[in-house]
Amino acid sequence: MPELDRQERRAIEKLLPFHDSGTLDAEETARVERALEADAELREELAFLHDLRTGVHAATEVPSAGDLGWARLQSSIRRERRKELVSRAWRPALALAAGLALVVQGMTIFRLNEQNASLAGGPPTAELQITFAPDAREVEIRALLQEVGATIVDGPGPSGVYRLDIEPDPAGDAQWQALIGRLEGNPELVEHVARERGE
Amino acid sequence: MSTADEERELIARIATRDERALEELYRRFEPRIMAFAHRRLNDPAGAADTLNEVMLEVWKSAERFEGRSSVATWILSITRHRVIDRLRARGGRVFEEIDEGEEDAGAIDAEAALAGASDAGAVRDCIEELPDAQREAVHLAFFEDMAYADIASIMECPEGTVKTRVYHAKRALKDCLANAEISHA
Repeated sequence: MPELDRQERRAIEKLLPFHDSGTLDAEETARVERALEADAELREELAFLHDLRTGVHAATEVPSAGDLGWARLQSSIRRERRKELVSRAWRPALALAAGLALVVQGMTIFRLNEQNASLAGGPPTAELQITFAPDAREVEIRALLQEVGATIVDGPGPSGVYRLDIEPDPAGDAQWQALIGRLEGNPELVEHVARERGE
Repeated sequence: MSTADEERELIARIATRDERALEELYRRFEPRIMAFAHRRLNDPAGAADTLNEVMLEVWKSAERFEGRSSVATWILSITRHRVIDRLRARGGRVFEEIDEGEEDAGAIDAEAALAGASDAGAVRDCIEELPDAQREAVHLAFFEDMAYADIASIMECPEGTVKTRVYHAKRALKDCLANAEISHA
């Protein structure tokens, strides 16, 4: 077997610790084994590395956190879970806040409409009833209502129902159904929508 | 089922908030996290704090574990980051620039070094003298018996750098152990 050149010898030396731990791939292992066969000094080096590994294991201090450590982790996890619960509990509150913003805006619009109606000679007629998803955002609701030409004229009622006026009025049942379909096509915003009775 | 597969399954169960799976993973990794943290911090209380932080992080982010590395590599990587945070908080240096040139040291008494390698006290003292990056690489290569690719992933450096660090650490240890053996004789 030919003697290893300096560069190859260095490369093999760098692989030896990982050969000793059995973590090289098949190709690298074969390369190292060929070199070991040819070079007695590399075999000595491998013996040293093997003893060094045993020495490192013996010399490594492993302080134990033991059962107290596990109890501490459980306590940290309980705190974490409480935080998660609080965070989840806040979500409806935030949705409620968004809803309240919508109510305020709705009331403002309602008052404006009342003023407009009084100028025009009568209140707008509610044509649709709608309930919104609890976590729907005001900005998204507003965009949807504007898209279909809807104005909130009343609500929310005790069960969260808002009443909408549509301008211009859809002509005929087919157009009404199409409009309802557009609203229902946003289930992340709209929970339920129906025409007012008598419409 | 292999150990690696078992550990992946534990992580999957932890992602579903299974505390028993967390306890099993804790029992498996406690000594490894403590040993790794203590090697860098040299402080059992700091190592225990690190253990708690690492396992809490595992609990919180188990669902984001993608399995691209082994669980051990992932956990020891988190451990390393937490140790670095702790070292930074202490205001001390985190990394030490080391000369990783290719120069060979002079001749070393191989027989004395071999004898020194079986003296746990001498090995411990010599490891303490290594620069941080080499000490970390030696721990992962010789105590954790990890592949250089995994060590590179944990230490966030190229694989060649890992091999070079271990090579230089080995030379330094050999030199130190040869002299330690002479002083113990």
